[in-house]
Amino acid sequence: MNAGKVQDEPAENEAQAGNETTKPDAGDEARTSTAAVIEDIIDRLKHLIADHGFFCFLADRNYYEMIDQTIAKGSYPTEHTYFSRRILILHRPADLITYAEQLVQGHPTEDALAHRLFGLVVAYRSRMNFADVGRAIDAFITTDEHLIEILREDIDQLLTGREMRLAATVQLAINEVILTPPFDVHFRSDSDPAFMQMAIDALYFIPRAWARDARKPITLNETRIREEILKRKCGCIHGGAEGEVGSGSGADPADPVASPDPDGITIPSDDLSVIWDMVELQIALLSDFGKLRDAIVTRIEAKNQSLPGAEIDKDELDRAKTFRDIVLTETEMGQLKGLIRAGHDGTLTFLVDENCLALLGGSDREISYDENLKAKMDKNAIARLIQLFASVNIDLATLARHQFLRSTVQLMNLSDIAAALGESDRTRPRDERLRRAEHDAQTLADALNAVGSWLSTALTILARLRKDMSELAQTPSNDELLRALVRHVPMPSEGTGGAVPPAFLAMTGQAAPLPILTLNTDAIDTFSKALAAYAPPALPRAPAAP
Amino acid sequence: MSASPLFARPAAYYRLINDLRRFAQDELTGRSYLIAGHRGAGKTTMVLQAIRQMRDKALQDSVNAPTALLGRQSRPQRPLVVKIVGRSLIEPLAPTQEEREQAENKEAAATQGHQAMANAALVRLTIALYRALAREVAAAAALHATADTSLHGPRRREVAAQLALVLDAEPDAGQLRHYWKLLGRLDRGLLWPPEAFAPEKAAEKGDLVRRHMSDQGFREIVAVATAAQAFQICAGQITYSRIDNQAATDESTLTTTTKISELVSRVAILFAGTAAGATIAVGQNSLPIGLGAGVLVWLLGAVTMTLSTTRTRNRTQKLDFTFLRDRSIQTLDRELPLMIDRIRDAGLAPVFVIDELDKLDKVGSSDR
Repeated sequence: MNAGKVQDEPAENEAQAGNETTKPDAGDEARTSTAAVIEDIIDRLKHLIADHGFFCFLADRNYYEMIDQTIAKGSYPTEHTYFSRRILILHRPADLITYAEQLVQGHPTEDALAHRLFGLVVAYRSRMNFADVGRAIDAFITTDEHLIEILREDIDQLLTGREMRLAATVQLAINEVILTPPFDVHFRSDSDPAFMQMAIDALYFIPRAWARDARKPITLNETRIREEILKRKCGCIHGGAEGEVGSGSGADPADPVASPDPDGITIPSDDLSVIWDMVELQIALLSDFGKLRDAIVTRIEAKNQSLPGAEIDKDELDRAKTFRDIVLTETEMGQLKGLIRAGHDGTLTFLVDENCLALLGGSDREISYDENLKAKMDKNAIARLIQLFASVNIDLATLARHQFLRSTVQLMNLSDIAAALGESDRTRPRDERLRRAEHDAQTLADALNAVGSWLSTALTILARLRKDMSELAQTPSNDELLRALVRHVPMPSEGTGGAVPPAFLAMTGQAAPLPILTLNTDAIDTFSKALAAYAPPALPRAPAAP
Repeated sequence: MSASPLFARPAAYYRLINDLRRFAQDELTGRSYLIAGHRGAGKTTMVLQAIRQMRDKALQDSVNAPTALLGRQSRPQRPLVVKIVGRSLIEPLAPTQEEREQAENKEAAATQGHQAMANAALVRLTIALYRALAREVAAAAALHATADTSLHGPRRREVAAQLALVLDAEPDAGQLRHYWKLLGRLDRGLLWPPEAFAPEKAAEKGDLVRRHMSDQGFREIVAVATAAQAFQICAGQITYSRIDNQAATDESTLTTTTKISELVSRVAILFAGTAAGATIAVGQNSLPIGLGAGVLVWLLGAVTMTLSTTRTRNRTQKLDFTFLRDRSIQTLDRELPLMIDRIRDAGLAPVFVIDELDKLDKVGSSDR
């Protein structure tokens, strides 16, 4: 096959038909090479392939698209005879969820909810890419033990976090779109894998933007979706953050995303229309989690009712109810209406981030705060803790990233909180900034109340590790120390009162759990003094270089 | 026959399985699949998993339901994965010293380079196919030897190990037969499990199974020997020659015969001359006359016999011919299909997986 032939063909007909086209500005050389190599091989081995052997040519999606376009444009071109069958590998959500669920089958508790949740989270994090499934599963591993054993033993604990439920909820919305008639027809078989791939690309647009920066609103319309699909079909990477407000077509003619080269790959207009309908449904479900919950079960019930005389598939209905129960409807701050708020101009604003932390863009209409929490807050204790963390050169976000704190405080900036708290006396109570600072501080206090004693122990261990390693002329980074600690120190689960394992007590020389820091200012002072007076044990020094 | 690992099966997986089954049963002569997807989509995993599933099922069926396997010529088949890196199929072979000497000008070098590239794909396919076959046979031999609990067991395990090494060095049919015999699998072959194709499991088709499997070992030997010959072509340069010198031997015999007859003739002439002289001397009662007549007869006889010997030497013919068998890489064009057919006759259906075609970024058109 002549790759140049594909690129040289004008796309006038396509443009006249209303299908805008684009050609990637990168990756052409790779496609040319792949196409030329496959053409060479097939030419040389034609008789073997036709009469003797079973040949599987494994190529990338670009080559598939190119062959598809070439065949579509010509009347039985040479490329039409190259392959007996052309397959585009595409995993449907159900494939990957089933696979992930199988991994944890045999869990002693036989917790169906945990299994379903695990499958959904893996599917969501992998974005339906099989290679990323392995990476998503690896993220669950906290020790060196065998993966399956870890999953089976710790699955309940691993999946209790609300951020897991939130990720699963977003994946459930995608699943629901795919399974809803009439969209489900396209996904029942692999008769049109190119369409399936485009739809998957489009449906993961919102999750990708959410994961990249949940604080930035995105503009979403049919044109933006078309650009996203073309970009992923062509495999070309443009600069700039996708999905940002103002980056859509027509917003900036100089933007390479907004000015596609009208040649090469096309999207049938009918397909684009259907895909946009799917995205609109997805937006509706993500805007209202209650609607998503209802849709999951209603669809199954409607399906059963549409088959008069047939027995109701109870297993399927039970499965749907389990999925319904997974949908997250409340956070630590109160009820959560949905993931996004859709504006009239097509702007989508995220209400929470991936860690289930409420964002500034959210309003009281979506998230109702627990007013009682404010009464529990001890501002002085918070301020002392902030100073304490600073004394050991560890910031709160780092601690949260390594699961020392609950994820609700993961993205908080300590300096912002401190500054806001400092200004609180000089600012009117209804000021938005103060309101947010109070909310963040409240969340921090709540988190520290739960894990405070364990955290103080962990900080002591960290300080020891840091000093001891300094004695050995090693300068570990915070990340290295925290990773080491996380791997060997299981965090107490919620509701256990922050119990500290005996091994830690032995390490720190404490006979009993330390007092909860945020409820006892004296404890903070004691801890600070102990830390300052800490003398590292005599450790063997590294041998001097000869 | 280990359990298949967990694997996310896309819809295309089942279509591939179905075509692999049809190929193994000879319903399809050849097939070319384009399997595309994003990097990390699981293309290689899917293909290898499909082949593995087919292979495992065939091995299980050979024990539990032998008739389910009957396909190509009513004989069992299972897939043999032959994995090849795409780039290697287009990289030209290194020219031989002779080719380098011949390619003195650029035009000739270009022609030779193109030819070398054309051959490269066949050479790489042949090598990969032989290696895959050798690996399969060696593994099967080890399986049989390990399963052998008789007194021959230890010896057969050693033989199986030796066979693995021998397969690295292009064995001929005689060598292979020796090993099959030592392993006790000359008739039933190595490629299927020891307990496979038990007639009692084959129900009403038991006779059919028994008949078709009775020469399995020989078909395997033929397949491996054929593949080894083709592999030999790729592994090095060999020339076969045969010189027939039978005509030279015949000439030597003829010369000896001539000398004996000459001796006999000369003795006979001498005897005739003596007899003639004696007769005349007695009849004429004169010794000088008799002596003269005897010498005259002897001289006449001697002249006659000398002329006769000279004519015989002139008719001698010498026949001499040389046969050179073509074992060049160009012959792979016809050797490779034969190799595939014989491997299929032995019960293995080669599936060529040409991988990493999406990693050819650095291979530009100018390279070719």
